[in-house]
Amino acid sequence: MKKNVVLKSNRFGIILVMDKDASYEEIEKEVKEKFQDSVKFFKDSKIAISFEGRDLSEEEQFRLIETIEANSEVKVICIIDEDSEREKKFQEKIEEALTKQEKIKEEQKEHQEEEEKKEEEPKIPGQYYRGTLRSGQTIESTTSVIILGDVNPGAEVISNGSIIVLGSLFGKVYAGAGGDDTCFVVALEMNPVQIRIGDYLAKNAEKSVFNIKMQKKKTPMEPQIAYVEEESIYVESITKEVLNDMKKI
Amino acid sequence: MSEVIVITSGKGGVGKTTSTANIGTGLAKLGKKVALIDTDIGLRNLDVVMGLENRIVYNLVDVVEGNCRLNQALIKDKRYPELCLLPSAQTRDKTSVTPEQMKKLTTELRESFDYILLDCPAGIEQGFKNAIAGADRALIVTTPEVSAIRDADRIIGLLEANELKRHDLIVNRLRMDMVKRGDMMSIDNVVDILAINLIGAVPDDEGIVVSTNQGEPLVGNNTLAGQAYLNICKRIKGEEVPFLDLESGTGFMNKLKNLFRRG
Repeated sequence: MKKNVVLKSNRFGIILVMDKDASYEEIEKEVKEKFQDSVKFFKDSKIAISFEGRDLSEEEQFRLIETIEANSEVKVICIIDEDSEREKKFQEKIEEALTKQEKIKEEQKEHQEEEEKKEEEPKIPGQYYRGTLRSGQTIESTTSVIILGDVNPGAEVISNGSIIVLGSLFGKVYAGAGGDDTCFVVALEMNPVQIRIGDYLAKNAEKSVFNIKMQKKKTPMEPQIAYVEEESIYVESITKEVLNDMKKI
Repeated sequence: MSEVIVITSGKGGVGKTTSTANIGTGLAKLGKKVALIDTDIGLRNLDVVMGLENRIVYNLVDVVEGNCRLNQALIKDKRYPELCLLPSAQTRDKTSVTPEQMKKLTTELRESFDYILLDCPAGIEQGFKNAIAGADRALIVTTPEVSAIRDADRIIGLLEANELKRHDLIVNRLRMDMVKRGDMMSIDNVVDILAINLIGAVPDDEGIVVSTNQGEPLVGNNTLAGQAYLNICKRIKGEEVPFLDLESGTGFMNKLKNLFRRG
């Protein structure tokens, strides 16, 4: 079979070489087949295109581009119709289009970063909650959290910062949820079922609040702090020494 | 001024229905007009505990759907004429009633009763939402077990979220011998976790099983549990009943021990 259309390519695009005697219908049909066959090859690439070997009306050019785009994932960015300096023009056009896109992308990225920054540095450095956090209730905050009340078994506190419980802590806590392991957890009665700081996790050795309550009879409760040191979570009573040590982290 | 009180727990089997029957009967004993509503549609049993099953003609769903008048469905208690029961439907489910309909129903009952007690089903779904819809206050029943306490805690959170801020705690099925051995949480432990007002503690008592089976609430009789329930009724009425010494815990325990000896 005689080939009416030949695809040639350079770095930036495609040259469609057509037989000058072929009818437009024949060309369109063959272009359609060619692009259908090479969907996988072109993928969603952005190309410039030029037509060679046969004069096409503007309408015919657009129809061909439509055919290409309809039968593949290729996006035709521009048409170049002068043979001379073709490659140079291709290059210019493509590069222009690409840099434009990159600029937009960069702008978007900057915008995003700005927004993220805004989230990271809110006007309020911490969140305050008054009341008992009961089973099934959750506090999630991008800032540090202070709770004046208990955190009961089955409740959960998640914070990008530190968590301070002025009461009994029995539930689950996750401080430094963004990955910051310099955060800490403080509670007047420290007995969380599970504690996470940054990438570290510690489980309560006591299986239930019953065991904890029975244990508590023997040991009086005192304010404690949980923090990360040497790759693991430490829980200690709050003393000046501990607080001084923590400053070094 | 009448009061609508929902008796709830989250977990099943902790004694909601038994408590409703005993508190309802106790309040009637103290001379109040009381209506009990069984909101556990599909799992009806307050009527059995009250010993009134054979008198049921109409039920809660019939009233709500307009198949009968409210007065036709209310069953008069065999012991106290001022005590009435609105039984639940056994052949329907919780979706047969909406919270709005329950509100309307309780509003209607307020006109003729001092106390309206709602026996809430276990769980936190539609049945629970129906039961709490018209309530002014809640009695939360729990046993000194971690699972029951966990569910009670969840219920308290949900009640607070639904603007039901008046709630009191009943610690049920307490076994003093186990508490003493350290095998069961004390009242103090439970109150410590749930952080709400304690309105009464009911010891575990074989008499409860017997009374439930016979359909005769034991409130006010000579058993420990009977006395405990009567005290709860008096406290609901606003009476200052000499209360257990929660600080040390020993006062109450000694009292119970003495009662045991007497029995």
